[in-house]
Amino acid sequence: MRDVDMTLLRRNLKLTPQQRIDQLAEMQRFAAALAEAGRKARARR
Amino acid sequence: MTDYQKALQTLRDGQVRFIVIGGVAATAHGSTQLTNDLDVVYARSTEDIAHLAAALAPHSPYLRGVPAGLPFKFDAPTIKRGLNFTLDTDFGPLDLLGEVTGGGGYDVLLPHTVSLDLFGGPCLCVDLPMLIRLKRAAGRPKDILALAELEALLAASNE
Repeated sequence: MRDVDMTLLRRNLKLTPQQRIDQLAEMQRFAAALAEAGRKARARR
Repeated sequence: MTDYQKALQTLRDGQVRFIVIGGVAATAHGSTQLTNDLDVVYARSTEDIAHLAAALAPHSPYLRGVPAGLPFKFDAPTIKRGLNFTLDTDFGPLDLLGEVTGGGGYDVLLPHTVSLDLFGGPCLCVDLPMLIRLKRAAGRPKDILALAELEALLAASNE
């Protein structure tokens, strides 16, 4: 498939559905931490 | 963001009949896309609606994006009068859909589900071909973006 990173999908397919949901929650926490860091950096300017 | 464990256990413990759709279903099938809420299609019999109202009552359900203080009560009459609800709860955003574009209600979707073991129990999740159909029917830019990956997942799972 063009424009789809099959390496990431194949890696995900080796995980259980539970592990995939856990990974999603971890990514969300990381994204929230990045957003918070961005907010703090803008406030310091 | 949604606490998926708490959300799914709340619905399951409350004997709510529901099917996970949307981004979390895509994740469960292997998608790499980030999603921020939980979308479920819920059954709408009188008994199901009573179970749903009772299950969510302790979790402060309130309409998402609506100013605080409105006389909104997520009880059985409200659920019966309405259909689709986008809520904030104390475990995060939860979208409760009585019907979904391209898929209909709970009973229509039920034959197109798989039972996944999530957070220590079974959880019905829409299957990949139906998820693709729902995304295509929804047709929003984010759904269109997700389609290529879901179709690649379907192809990979059939290899």
